[in-house]
Amino acid sequence: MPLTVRVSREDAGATVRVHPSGSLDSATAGALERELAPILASKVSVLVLDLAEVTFVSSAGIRVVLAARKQMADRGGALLMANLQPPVAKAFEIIRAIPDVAIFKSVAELDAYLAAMQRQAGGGPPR
Amino acid sequence: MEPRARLAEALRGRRVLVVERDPAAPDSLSRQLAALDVTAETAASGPEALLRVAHAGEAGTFALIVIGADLPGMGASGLTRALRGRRETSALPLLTHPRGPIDLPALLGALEGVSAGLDLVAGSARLGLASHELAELLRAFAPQADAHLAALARVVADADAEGARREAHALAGAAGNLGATGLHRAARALEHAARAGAGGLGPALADVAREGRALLAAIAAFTPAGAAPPPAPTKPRGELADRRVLVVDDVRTNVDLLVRVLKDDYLLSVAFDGESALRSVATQPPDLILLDIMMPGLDGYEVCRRLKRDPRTREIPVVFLTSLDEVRDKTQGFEAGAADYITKPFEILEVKARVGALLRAKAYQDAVRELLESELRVAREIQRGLVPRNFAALGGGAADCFACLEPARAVGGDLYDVFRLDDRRLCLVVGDVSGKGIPAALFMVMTITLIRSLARLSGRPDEILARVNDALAADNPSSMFVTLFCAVLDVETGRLTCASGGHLSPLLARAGGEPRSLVASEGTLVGVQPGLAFPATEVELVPGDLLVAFTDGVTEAMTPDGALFGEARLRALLRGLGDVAPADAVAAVLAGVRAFAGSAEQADDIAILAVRYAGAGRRTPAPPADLTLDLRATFEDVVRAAAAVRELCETRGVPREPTDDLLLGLDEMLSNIVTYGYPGNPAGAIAVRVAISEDALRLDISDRAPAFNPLEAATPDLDAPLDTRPVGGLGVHLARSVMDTMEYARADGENRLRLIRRLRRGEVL
Repeated sequence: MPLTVRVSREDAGATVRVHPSGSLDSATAGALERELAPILASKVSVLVLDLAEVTFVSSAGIRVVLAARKQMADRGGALLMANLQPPVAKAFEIIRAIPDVAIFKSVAELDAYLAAMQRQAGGGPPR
Repeated sequence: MEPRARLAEALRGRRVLVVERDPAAPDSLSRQLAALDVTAETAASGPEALLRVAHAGEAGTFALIVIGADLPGMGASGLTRALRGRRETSALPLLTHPRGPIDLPALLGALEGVSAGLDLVAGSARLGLASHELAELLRAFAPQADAHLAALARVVADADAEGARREAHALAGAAGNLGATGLHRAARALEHAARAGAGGLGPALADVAREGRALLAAIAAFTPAGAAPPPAPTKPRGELADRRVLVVDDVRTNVDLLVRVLKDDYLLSVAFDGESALRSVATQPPDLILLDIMMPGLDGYEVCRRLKRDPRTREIPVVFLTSLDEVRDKTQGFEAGAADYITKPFEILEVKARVGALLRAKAYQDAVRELLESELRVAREIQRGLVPRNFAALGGGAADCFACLEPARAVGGDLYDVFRLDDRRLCLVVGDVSGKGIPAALFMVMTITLIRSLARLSGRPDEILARVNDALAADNPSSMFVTLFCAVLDVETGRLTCASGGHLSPLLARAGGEPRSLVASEGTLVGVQPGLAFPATEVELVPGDLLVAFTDGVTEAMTPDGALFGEARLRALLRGLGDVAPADAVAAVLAGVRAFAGSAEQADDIAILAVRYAGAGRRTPAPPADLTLDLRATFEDVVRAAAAVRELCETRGVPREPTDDLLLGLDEMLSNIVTYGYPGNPAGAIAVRVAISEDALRLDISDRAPAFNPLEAATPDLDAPLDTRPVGGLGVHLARSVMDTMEYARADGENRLRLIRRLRRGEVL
C-alpha cells in the first residue's frame, strides 16, 4: 500500500500538521522522511503527526518518527502524535517510545492542548 | 637381695664393655656404672668395640656389652648386627642403652638372662620398645613357646621330620626376633637337622627343651624398669600416618612385635595366613606388605605372585620377612616380585627404616602418577575438543557425517576433521601420526591446525597436502611424520576430490556392490621430505554411497593371539551394514574391532570417519504453502509481497491483528535481507512462502546471501531514553514481539527464517 502525505500549516507556520496515509513500512518510510525534511529544517515549533490514516507501521517508519522527534527536541520544539490506529499503537507500545512522545487519542484532544499552549505564549509544551 | 648387691654379685670376676661416644663425659654410662661399683672397660666407637672383642681371648670374653646411643661410625644397630654376626659374640648379652640415666633393672635382667641367651633389650634402640612393652611381649610369648615345645616333642616322637622342621622354624623365628638367641640357635639346629633328613633328632630336641626352659624362667624373672607410661595415642603420627602396612605372619609373636614397633607410624592390618592376606588386600588395600614366606596353606611366594599378577595390587611393594636366608630363597623372593627382603631375626630399626623408605618411595610414585594422570586427563579433553563432534549441520542434508577418535592411551596421534570450505564444499580429513602418546599428540595438534589454516587458502586436497607437507618438513627435528587422507566433497554434484599422503585408502560402499578402495595409490608420508606432490583423484558419489576412512588402529587391531583384524574383515563388515546412518556405521566398525580384539588391550590409536552421501536432490522438501513468491532484493518487491500476503489473509478470513503481525514480521525480515543481505545487489533472490492453517500463520523466508542470523541481534535496551538507543535490533525486536516463534537455520547455502503467528493464543499448538 503506497503512502501519501498531506501537510497543513497553522499559526503562520509555527505549527505544522502532517497527515500520512497508507502503510508506513520499509518501502514507504523514505517517502515520509523526505516530506518531513524541509519542515524540520524550517522554524516550526510544533510538528503534529496525525496518524489517523496510517494503517500499518514497521520499525523503518518508527525510526523516521523518532528521528523527527529528536530533531524537534534538539531545538526546543515538540513532535506530537495523534490518532494512532491499533496496529500502529501496538508497535509504538512494543518499543516503549510512548513516554517520550506526546501522543493524543484524538484530534479534539490535540487541539485543546495546542490552544492551551498558544495562550501561554512562549511556554514550552508539557513533557 | 637389693638390686645393687645383685648386680655386684652377678658381675663378680667378669668383664663388662661399655661402647659410648664420650666415656670421659660426666654422665657417661661407664661413670654411671662405676657409681654402681661396676668397673667397665670402654670403647669410643663400634669398630673399636669390635677390635676389643676380637682380642679379648686371653682375658676371657665379656659378660656384658653395653652399647650407648649416637655412636660414631657404624651406630648402635650396626654394631649390634656385627656382634651378632660373629661366632664368639653371637650369644653375648647386649644392652643397647639410650642416652640418660642407666636402667638398673634392665641391666640386671640382661645379666640374669645370660643362661637363656636372652638379650633383654628393654628400652633399647634395637626394638624401639619400652621395658614394660617388652615384658608384655615376653609374657604373651611364654604360652606360645610352651605350645611349640610340646608340639616339637610330639612330632619328633612320631619321627615326623616335616612337622619337626615346620615347628622348629616357627620357634626359631619367634625366639630370634625377641632376642632369645640361645633358643633361636637350638631351634635352628633342629630345623636344619630335620630338613637334612638326619635321623636321631633326640639330642637336638633336648637342646631346644633346655633352652626353652631357661628362657621361660628368665621371662618369669624379668621385671620391667619403671612403671608403665600412660597408654600411647593409638593414632599413628608423622608424614606417612595415612599409609597402611599389612603384616602377614603365621607366628603370633612376630605379628605382635611388628605391630608394636609400627603402630605409632602407620595404619596396620594383620593376617595370619596367605588366604586371609589376599582377602585383606582386596578389602582394604595396603601401601606395603610385610610378608612371611613359610606359612601353612599359601606360602609367601605364592601370595606375592598372585598380588603381582593383579593390576589392582601390582604396585603394592612386598617385603619378605623370613628366617630363610639362603641366596636361592632371596632370589626366589625377588623373582616373585618382592621389593625387599629382610631376614629374621631382624633388627627392628632396619625394618622401620626400610618400611619408611619404601613407603616414601611409593608415596612419591603415587603422587607423580596422580599428577601425570590428571594432566593427561586434561590433555585428552583438549585433544577431543580439537576435533568436531557436532556433525548435524555440516553436510546440509546432502551429506551426513560422523567420526570418532579413540586413542590407545590418554592422548594419541590419530586425527580426523570435517569442516565446510564454503556453501557447497565439505573438507574431510583422516590422519595418523607416527608413534603414540604425548609426542604424537603434539604433532597431531600441529597437523590439524595447519590443515585448517591452509585449507582456507586452497580448496584442493592435493594442494592442501603439499602445503602441509612443506610446512611440517621444514622444521621437524624429531623426524616424526603423519599419514593423511584429505578429500573435498561438493555436496551439490557429489564430486569427491581426494589426495592421499601415505594413508590407508578409505573404503567406498555402494548399494549392490562390494566395498572398494577409494584411491589406487596411498602416496607418500607427510612431513619428512619437502617439495612432494600428492596427486588428486576424483570420484563421483551417487546418492546412498557410504565412505569410510580409518586409521591402522582398525585394520591392525589384534587378538590376544596376535591375529590382525585386517581390511577384508572391515569390507565384510561394511557390506553387511546396509543403509545405516554414518554414526551407526562408525559404531559398528568400532564394536567389530573391539569384539575381535577381545581381552587384548587396544594397541594403537583409532580414528574412523564415515560420510553418507544423500545427494542434493534429497534435501528436506519445502513445506507446502498457500502462497509462494520469488522476489528480488528491492523494496518494490517487498511492497509486492506485503500486498500479496495481505490479500491472501483477507481472502482466507484471517482477522486483522494477526494479519498485521504477520506483515510486520514480513516487512522487518525482508527489509533486513534487502538492506544487509544483498546490499547493492537488486538481483538477489528471496523466496517467501506463507501457509495458513486453522491454528497458525507460517511464514518461511529464504535467501542465498552470505550466512547471517538476524535473530542474534541484541535486544535493544527499551528502558533507555529514546535518544540514547542504537537503532539496530529494533525491527527484530518488533517482529519477535508480535510473532510466537522465529527460527533461523543455514542450510544448502541458504539463510532460512521461519516465523509463526498462532491464531488462537493461549492454546498450545
